[in-house]
Amino acid sequence: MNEFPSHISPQSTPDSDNDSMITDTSSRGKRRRIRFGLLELLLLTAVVAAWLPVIFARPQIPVLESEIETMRFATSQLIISDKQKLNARSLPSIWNNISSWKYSIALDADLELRLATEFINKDGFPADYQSVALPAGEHSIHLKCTKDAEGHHTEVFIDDELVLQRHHPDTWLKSQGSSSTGGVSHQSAAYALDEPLKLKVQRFSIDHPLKKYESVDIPDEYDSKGNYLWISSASDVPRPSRVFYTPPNRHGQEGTGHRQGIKVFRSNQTGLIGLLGVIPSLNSILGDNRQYNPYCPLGITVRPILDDQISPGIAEQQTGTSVGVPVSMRESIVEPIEYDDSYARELITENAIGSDGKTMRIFAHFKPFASGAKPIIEIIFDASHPDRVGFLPHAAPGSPSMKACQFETRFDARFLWREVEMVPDAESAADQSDKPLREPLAALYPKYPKVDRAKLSVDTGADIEPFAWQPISAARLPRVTMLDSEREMARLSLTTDVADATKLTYPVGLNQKWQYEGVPNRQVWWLPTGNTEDEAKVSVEIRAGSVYPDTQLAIPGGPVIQNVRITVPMPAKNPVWLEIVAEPEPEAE
Amino acid sequence: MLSIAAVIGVGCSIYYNQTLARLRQTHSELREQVGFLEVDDPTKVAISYVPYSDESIPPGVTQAYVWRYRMHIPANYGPCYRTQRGLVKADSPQGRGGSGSSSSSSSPEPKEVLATMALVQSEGKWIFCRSVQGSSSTSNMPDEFDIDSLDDLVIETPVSAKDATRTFETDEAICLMRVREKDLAKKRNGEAEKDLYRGFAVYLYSSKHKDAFFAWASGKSESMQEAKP
Repeated sequence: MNEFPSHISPQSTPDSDNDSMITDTSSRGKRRRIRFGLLELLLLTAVVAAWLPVIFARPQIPVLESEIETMRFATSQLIISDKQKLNARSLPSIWNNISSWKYSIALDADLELRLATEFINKDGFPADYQSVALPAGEHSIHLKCTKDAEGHHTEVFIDDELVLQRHHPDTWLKSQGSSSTGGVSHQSAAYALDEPLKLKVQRFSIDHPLKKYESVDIPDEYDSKGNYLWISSASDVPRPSRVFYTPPNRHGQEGTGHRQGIKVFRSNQTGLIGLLGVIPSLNSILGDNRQYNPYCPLGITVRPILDDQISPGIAEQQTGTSVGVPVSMRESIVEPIEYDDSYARELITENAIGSDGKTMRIFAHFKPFASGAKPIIEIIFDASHPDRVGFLPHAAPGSPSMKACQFETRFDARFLWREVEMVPDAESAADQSDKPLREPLAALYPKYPKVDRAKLSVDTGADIEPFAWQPISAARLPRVTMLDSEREMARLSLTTDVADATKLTYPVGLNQKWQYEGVPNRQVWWLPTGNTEDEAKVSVEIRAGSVYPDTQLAIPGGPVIQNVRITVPMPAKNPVWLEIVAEPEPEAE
Repeated sequence: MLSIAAVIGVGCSIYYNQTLARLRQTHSELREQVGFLEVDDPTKVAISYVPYSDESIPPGVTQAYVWRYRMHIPANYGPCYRTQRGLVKADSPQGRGGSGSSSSSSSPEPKEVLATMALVQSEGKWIFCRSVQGSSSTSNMPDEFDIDSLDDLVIETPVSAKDATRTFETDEAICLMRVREKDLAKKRNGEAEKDLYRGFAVYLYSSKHKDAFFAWASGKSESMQEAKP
């Protein structure tokens, strides 16, 4: 084995090798020796002397900055960091009814101070406001909001001068609470002149319609009353609030639809996959507990029926986590390249709104059903009817031919609908009037003993099954001529006999999502009559039950309608419309 | 190499010294205006007085008396506030009438807060307002409670304009404000109430001693003591 370094020539003699090794060792020893003269010593001293103040100063600076910041907050001092911008800060308050700010602007800033007390929503700035030119220089702004026996008062001062005021009578609002935000820090900061600056956004909640001392929070996109004070460029004109609403992000489960009305959404959460979630308008369910995410008080499943298929039963992919095949919602009728079954849904933009601004259409695309059917449901919102949503089924290209599409409602039990509005039966001698009557469930299940509330028992397994589907004859549905289209439509209307659901005693252990706390309302379907050539006959069925779905817990007051099934023959030309609308308040005697 | 380090060091030294001098000057000016909160022991509550100028009273207020403090709240203290109004005792949160409580969650870090106690007169009515770092509560004073002159009332605060920072143990109940009449309250039959005066009081205590405070405030025990100067 050759143990010599590879650079040593094989011709080298042993002596010459030793010489070179001695020389190498000697030079390495020289390199290791540290030469340290007086100059170096002086320089080292200078380095230490130069850096010592830095070492001592650095830890003190953040402490001083922190103390300065807290002390500044206790003063009314405004630090102007950029004279060309809007410099502002909030001031510590002595009374929560008065909020104060200090600002400074240049002479040519051309800014306005604006105040609104109504139509406050997150969609934008209220279009109905009072304003005053913001004087140049350094000034303070004070907003005073009070309530007394005469009503609600809002006053705005610049320095000591009252510049804006709004007064509303006591009847303007019944509210016990509010929430406030603002865009101005208590530290001085410079803000861009062309960006509106929110000083205070206060939104009042409203009193619960049924419960004493409780409030109802108004969803952000709805108009609310309150106090909105902001600084804006004088030339900036707020755009009117939109009629329709699309969530700004892909995770928004507040739904798409009417900004102040009914909305639909999809979710990938357990029990909601494959469902068209329906969120009725706030007024239709006023008082209901919306503190669930996602809030899905009502849902609709879709079932395509092929031409050669007798029953749609197995077409639905129903598992423990889903009630149907995953659904994507798009603003286009064109099928998605990939069906969206993720938490984040496809973003729907204002492109879904028609050019006239009066309708919005989005499309629910389903993954192919087990039968191969690929329905697309056109979901329609009409600006004239904020409580309604329309459904028009289509077949995607390549889908097997469908003879019908069924829409089946879910979670109806929570609303306690147990009457169906029907015109009198022509064959019945007892019916003398043409006026629609509220038929109780017992009339629809004459041979079904379980609807007898007195005999209702939930101890037996038989009672936990929903009752049989009960067809509703088209002849028994009232016909209504629509005011806007003059088209005649059939109306299925489900009503409740519970005037105050908060007074019900719900069974122990019942999931709170089934416990309805809102105003009484009705589920209404507006259906084509089938009287004209372009209208196919839509069939209607309902199914009742005496216990809450997937539980053995009895529904207080007896059986209620648990599902509605609307079968729309394909191809369909006219939509069916679902409306959830509050019952009118009984007239005072 | 050493020369370069020395030159950079001199440059940094000048910069840091200038920054420090500027901050010290600002600090000194602000200290003149709002007083200084000296925290010798960060595990204790420290309170200093902040002067409030009448010029700062906002418009829309007829008259106001304002007491403002800077408070150092130790880590994990969990500040709780209780206001007793109606009839109050001179040395405890006990009393008769209305009361209100609020609490904040414990913070793992100590923090400094600005607390404001204000008697505000607006539209002919007197209102007491307590504001601490964004949260606030108000109480309407009864019409017969005359606050036109503070000289006729006994006003107790944890610190005054003359005091330096005052330090409190975390197990002490701190009376942030007590405003009461000088004479004992009278019953309907004209007799004096025992140890009770018309007025209101605000206390600060730690959430760790909530039960002890409530037992004391309800007169069930002497489990806590009011912090004495």
